[in-house]
Amino acid sequence: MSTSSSTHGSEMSTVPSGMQEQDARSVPVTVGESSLLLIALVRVFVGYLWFQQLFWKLPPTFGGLHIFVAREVGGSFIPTYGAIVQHVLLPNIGLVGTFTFLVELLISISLMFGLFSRLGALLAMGMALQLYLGLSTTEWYWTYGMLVLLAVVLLPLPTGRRLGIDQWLAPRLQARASRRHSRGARLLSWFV
Amino acid sequence: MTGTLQRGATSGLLAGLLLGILFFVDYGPGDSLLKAASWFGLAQSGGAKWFGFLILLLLGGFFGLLFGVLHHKRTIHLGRSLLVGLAMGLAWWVSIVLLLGSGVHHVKLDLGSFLYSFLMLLLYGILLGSLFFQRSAVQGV
Repeated sequence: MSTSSSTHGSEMSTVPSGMQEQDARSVPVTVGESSLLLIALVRVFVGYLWFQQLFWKLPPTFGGLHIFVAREVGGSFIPTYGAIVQHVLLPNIGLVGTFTFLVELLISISLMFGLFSRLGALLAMGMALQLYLGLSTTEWYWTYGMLVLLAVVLLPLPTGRRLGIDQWLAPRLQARASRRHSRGARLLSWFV
Repeated sequence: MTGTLQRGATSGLLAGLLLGILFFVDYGPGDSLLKAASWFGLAQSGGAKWFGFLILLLLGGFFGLLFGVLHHKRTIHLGRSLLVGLAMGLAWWVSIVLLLGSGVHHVKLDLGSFLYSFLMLLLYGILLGSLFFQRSAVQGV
């Protein structure tokens, strides 16, 4: 990511320090084309990370998912959460499996294809937070913390606007939102 | 004509290379490359992972070239680029994975292998369309 500043040393001495700081805040941060491509590549790889995790929890049996959900009963650092897993999630493992599979498939498609990539990042953050809550004490503490942070990094960036469908979608949604004052288009343009 | 074909082929090669890298990154490592080799019945041979990688690269270039042919003498729009790219990914899946791999070499196509091959080749299509458009924009086409 590249930033630009036009402040010169000779000018700085004549401007009060408070104003300098205000100027520094208002200088727009511009992201270069190569940086955009790089973050788009990171988005594809993070999407692929989620995509690969689908294959050990495929329907109809959901494979090894039961073992990991059961591990959350004693693994959570919030005891109440462990109880919820034990009494609500485990008895309904079929529903939990279907939900998990569908959401992770949605995250994979969104991030790999750059289709509403910010929505994909938001869903990834939610799923990763759940894993952090339930499993962080059972493995290296930062494993799931990093998974949360990866999604957080992708959330504010328009990563789908390179190597993704968002590049086509974004200007159309924004034009529709401003021309027709469409709330739906404004909401959707938030996610590209 | 040559410029469009060249851009199509190089965009396809780049998308194929990225696909090869993604196929390499797994628990194996590189076990997913065996899937690509199995489309041609080469999964049991020595150096099958290398074959798999080469297949992704060559087919990437080939479908990129085809993409270039379809864009010949046409104004390049992002929407059309992405759509034709997706069609190339779909054509790869139908011709190589479904007909050659599953039909001729009897590669099992269960939910897992369908999801993996289908979505990865659609990803190839999006990368191809996007890279082609990007390269055309840079060269002022």
